[in-house]
Amino acid sequence: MMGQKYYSFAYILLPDELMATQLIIDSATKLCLEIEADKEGSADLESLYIKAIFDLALLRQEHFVVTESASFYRLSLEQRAVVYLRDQREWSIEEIASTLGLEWDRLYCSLNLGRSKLMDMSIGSDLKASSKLW
Amino acid sequence: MVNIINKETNYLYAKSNHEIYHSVLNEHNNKDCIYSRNLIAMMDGAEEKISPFYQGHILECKICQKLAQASSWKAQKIRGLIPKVSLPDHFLSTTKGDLSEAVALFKNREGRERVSKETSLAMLLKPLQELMESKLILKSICQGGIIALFTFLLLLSISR
Repeated sequence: MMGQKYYSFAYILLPDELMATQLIIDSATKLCLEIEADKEGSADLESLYIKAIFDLALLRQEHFVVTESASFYRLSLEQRAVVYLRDQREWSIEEIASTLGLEWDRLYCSLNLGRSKLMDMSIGSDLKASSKLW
Repeated sequence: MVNIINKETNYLYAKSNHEIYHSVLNEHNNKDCIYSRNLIAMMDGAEEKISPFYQGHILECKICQKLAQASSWKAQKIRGLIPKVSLPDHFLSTTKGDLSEAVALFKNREGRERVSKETSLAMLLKPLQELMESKLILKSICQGGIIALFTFLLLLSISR
């Protein structure tokens, strides 16, 4: 389902039901206005929508405090976006770079940092859990 | 200090240490494979598929087999750590109106979805109009307040 896909991405960036829903609506409106400027219209609608959601989330993140406790939400917004698109949605590096408008080196940096932070946090919490058991 | 220097040095590569030398060498060789770094880079990053050469190499090399296993375990683990987000029940009902407004902006032209200049302009003007209207309302409220204050003061002075 298309709505599910976009909502998941929006929620990953701003983990709040209301904020994610608003992000979906505002990005759709923004996209409607921007498509006029895109004379060629070669880019597909999905990546344009993802880009619109990402850009708006970047603008809104400073007014937003993440309250979700999952370790994934401790990553930066860019790291969350990149790790989600690569590891969950299985997008190629090229697709992610062109959609989010990131340079390759920055993209690799975000991806690897995000992955390693996530693994560190997971291993740390696993160790804590096992020490409690002992 | 002098005693240490004068003491006969026992080198690892000396003939007498032939067996130890080879066991250390074998251990070192087994630790790393010249292709392992490339393989890690391939599996973690850019490459969508591992090249046929490396596929064949993995079948032969035990070190790279372990690396491949570790990499797939890591990928699975990361996938498991990304939260699964489900669409809230009221999502469609709450967004239907707003999204249909946005969708109405699209104009089908040559099979592609586009929006006309007039609609874009209207979209930009709409919030401005709303702002103007809200300012007018504020103005009228202020005027009403001033008139009420005047009347109150007038009544107060008459009563005295």
